[in-house]
Amino acid sequence: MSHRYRWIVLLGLCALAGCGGGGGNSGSLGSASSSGSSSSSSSGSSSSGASGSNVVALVVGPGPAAANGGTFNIPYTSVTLCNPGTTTCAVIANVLVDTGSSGLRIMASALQASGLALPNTVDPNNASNSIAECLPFADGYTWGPVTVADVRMNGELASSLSVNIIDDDSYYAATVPTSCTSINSSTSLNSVSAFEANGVLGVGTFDQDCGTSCAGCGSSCNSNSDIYYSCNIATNSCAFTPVSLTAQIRNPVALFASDNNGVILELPGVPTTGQTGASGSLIFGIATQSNNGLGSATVLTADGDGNFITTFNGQMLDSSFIDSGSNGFFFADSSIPACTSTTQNPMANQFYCPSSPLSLQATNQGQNGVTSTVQFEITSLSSLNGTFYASPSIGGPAAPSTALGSYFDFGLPFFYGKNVYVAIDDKTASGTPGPYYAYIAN
Amino acid sequence: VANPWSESAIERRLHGNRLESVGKSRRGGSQMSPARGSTELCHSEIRLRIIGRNLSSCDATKVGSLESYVKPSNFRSAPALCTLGLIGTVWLSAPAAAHLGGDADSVAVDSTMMHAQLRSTPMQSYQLHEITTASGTQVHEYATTQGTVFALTWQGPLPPNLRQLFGSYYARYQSAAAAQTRPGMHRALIIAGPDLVVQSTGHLRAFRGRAYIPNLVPAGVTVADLP
Repeated sequence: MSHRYRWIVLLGLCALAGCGGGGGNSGSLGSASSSGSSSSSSSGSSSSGASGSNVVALVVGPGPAAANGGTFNIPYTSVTLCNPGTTTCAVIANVLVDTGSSGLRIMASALQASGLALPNTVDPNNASNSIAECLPFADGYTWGPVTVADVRMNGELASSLSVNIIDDDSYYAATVPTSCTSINSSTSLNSVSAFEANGVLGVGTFDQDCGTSCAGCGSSCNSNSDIYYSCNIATNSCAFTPVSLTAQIRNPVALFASDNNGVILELPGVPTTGQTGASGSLIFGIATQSNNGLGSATVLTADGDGNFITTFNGQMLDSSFIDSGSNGFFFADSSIPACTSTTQNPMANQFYCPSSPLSLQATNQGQNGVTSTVQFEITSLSSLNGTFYASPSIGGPAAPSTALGSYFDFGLPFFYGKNVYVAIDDKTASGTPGPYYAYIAN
Repeated sequence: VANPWSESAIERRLHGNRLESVGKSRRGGSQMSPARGSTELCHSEIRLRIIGRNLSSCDATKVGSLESYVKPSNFRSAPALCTLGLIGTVWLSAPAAAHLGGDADSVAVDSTMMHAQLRSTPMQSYQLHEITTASGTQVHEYATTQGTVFALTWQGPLPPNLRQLFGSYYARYQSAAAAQTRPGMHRALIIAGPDLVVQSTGHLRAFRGRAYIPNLVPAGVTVADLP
């Protein structure tokens, strides 16, 4: 049973042992071309899609087997990595498509399983050392080396892209430094199960994952300015090092020859009660081809942090974002009860369990002054069928709004039935400089 | 020769840091230095800047990144520094206790450990210590009028060193965080314990959070209203 973890999660909510089954892991995501099909199927999975050499499949499903069925609302694609300048390549399936980060990260275990070996990036200032990265998340960190690959997705190529290998199987001999584990909670997220994915394809608003701070910290790089290390494997020692903007982990899209100003995530509508999955498209470029025009989409320009303003329940949430890597709508509303955590289901309190479905709305405002009202529903996680991996009505609490400000995280449920555009910060897309988000019903 | 203590010099430096921190200025990729940072945690010998508690006659906002200019021989310039709210410079051979729940000196230790700028402002019922790190992340430490740090907030492109800032509370933070199952990426970690509340949120290059010790919060202070 590939869904063991999911059952642990949902058993307490379903309160019945046979609350669901089936599914199985998705082993057929290797094709990099879009199916181009449309409409719902009787199996409860729906699809929508574009076609073209700048399009790859975007599939919401159970994810990799190692994730034990994962949770829900996680969009995957496949990525081809090659040794630079060669045809020695491997396809990594079930890579999470994440608009909340930038850069390609692959689990070491998935890379090993593919048979492809990629060389560690040598420190340009010390040939004995290789470059590694400690990437912070709000709830932990990832650790692993930087490597270089030619990355292909259908007709697109990012040549000699810096790729972060998340060292989930400890193949990288330089172990995580204390300075890395001292950020946030010191919780390692180095595992397929932490991401429910074999890797993360970060296609967010940033070009680089760090930027000028890591490039310009010179001889004074430390954990407050830098996330890159120069590591000596022989001595198992690492020290902070500056890494140039071009050598940092970068949004792969920014390196494409054209179609390099952003992406579109296109997913079909999903019934409020959810369904087994959904199939759509990840389209590269905005207004660079006949299949990726902006049309009449609402454009919300973002601030330098990749955020915009959302007004919800009278609260002005200044750091809101649209994040395909989040599996629900996350916002603070003390009137909606959270689910009750149990020993079997310790994460339930991170979702809402209203007694009846709620119809809510929020108003987004970009830096450009454009406003847009978003209608959405929240249903109880406890009512979600255990075999359903796509649900447009799952939400959960966020940190409460304070004088410091707060956020509304528009996770994957927001994407169903829409084309969502994400424009990169140093590019212009359809005449508007990034960073911006745009969306329109499809 | 420009006076490094002049307001304009300090402003320039502050301004330069801010430009760098927000990541909006594109400075190209040529700043790489062959020199390499080796700072893992704290140096065994550190320099502290003690900020006067009573800054009412000074403009605290002008206290910028003076640290790199301060040398032991500069002690004689203390009168000049006074107008900036800086009343002295001392060398310590080891860091004092520095943490949530720690005393006012611990704030200065935090600042030094984080290679950061510090300014302090007395408020009605607490003291606000603002630390700005090299990446531009701002850390606010809130201390009681007796000097005990009861809350802190952070906001910026990189999370601060919470092991440093949490001090003795870090272990319980770790265990509370480890006890949570990660249900996908919520880009948030929320812990609401009776003796420690932590809300850590945000995405790549935009992190934010706050932590406080409920039973140390002074009467009349609402944590949600802390600036």
